[in-house]
Amino acid sequence: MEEKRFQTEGDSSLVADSIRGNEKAFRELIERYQPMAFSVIRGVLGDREDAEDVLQNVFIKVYKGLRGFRGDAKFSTWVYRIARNEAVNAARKTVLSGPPADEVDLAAPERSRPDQQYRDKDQREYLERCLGELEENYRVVLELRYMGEMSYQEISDATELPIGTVKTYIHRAKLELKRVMTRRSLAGEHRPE
Amino acid sequence: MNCSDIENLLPRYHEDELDADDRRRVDSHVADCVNCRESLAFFAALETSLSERRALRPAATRTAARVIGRLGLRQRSFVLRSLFNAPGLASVTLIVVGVFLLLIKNPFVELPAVLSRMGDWFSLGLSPKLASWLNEIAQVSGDGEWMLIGLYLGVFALIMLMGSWMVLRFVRD
Ligand SMILES: [Zn+2]
Repeated sequence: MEEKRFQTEGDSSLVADSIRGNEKAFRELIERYQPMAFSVIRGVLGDREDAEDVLQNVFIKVYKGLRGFRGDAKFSTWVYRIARNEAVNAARKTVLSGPPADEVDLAAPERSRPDQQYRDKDQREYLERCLGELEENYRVVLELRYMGEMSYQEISDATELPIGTVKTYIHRAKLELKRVMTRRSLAGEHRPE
Repeated sequence: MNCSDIENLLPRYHEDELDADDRRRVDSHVADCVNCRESLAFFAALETSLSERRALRPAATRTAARVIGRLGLRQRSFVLRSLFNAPGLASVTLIVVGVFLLLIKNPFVELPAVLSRMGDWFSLGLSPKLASWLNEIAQVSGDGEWMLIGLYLGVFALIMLMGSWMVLRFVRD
């Protein structure tokens, strides 16, 4: 499957067409920014079942706010802010209404060799849990990079962070992931040699 | 360079974010240092598994369809879109043609006449080539009735099939 880089050319005409009720144009906008919005939501909420609902809510907010989008910011920045707000609100609601998702099973899955460390489903869940321990800002940028397949420049545009900061966050996130994984491995039966 | 200096370079190694000098430093260090070599392998595996996580992303087209459905954009403009959208227009035309064919009374007798009348219309300037073709068929079909029945039923079935297929596809999507 080809990798689809998201492109920002033509955003403003798509916005204008969407405001005029052109469903095709709005569809195109959603498809362009869905990977970014989903990455932000994952970055804030982590591995949660309602991520897709939140994702839809983001684009409903986007649609309703289109007339208010003046174009003084990049469209990606604007969508990013909406996605981040929506995700933060969803996170807050859960905190108010119920206990947080499972925080059990701290140990790394057994019987894994270092090079096979993330191969199966258990390992994938293990990675999700380790990602959950990162600082939110690092995790969001990391998600934009890998889940959203965005370039440093695109991430910088959306988040309004300097490109150097974006790189630093990703760098630190990886180092931190290694630390978390090593600590968890030591807590469980298995340790990387 | 000691291990902690090297460790600091490793996360960027697989992202091609190191300059040639740093890359060489890492290469020569991991050749001799088991710990850092394993560390590098860790970051290689991490790179892969992070990239693989994009499979967790729902399909963008599905998100778009759901959002547009929830906003009611589709329902509101459905009739207009059916009329001004090429597939919509084509399927409506096909069904009208199909029904027209069905409504011709006693088609096996009437069809040659209808065809030649259609040929006359087209010869008024729309498409002389099509007109002569239609007239030719009209002539032939006057003689070979069975061939005509086959042709007629085939065309009718094809048109109805295409028309309903297009409508179904259009409505469902
Ligand atoms: Zn070393």
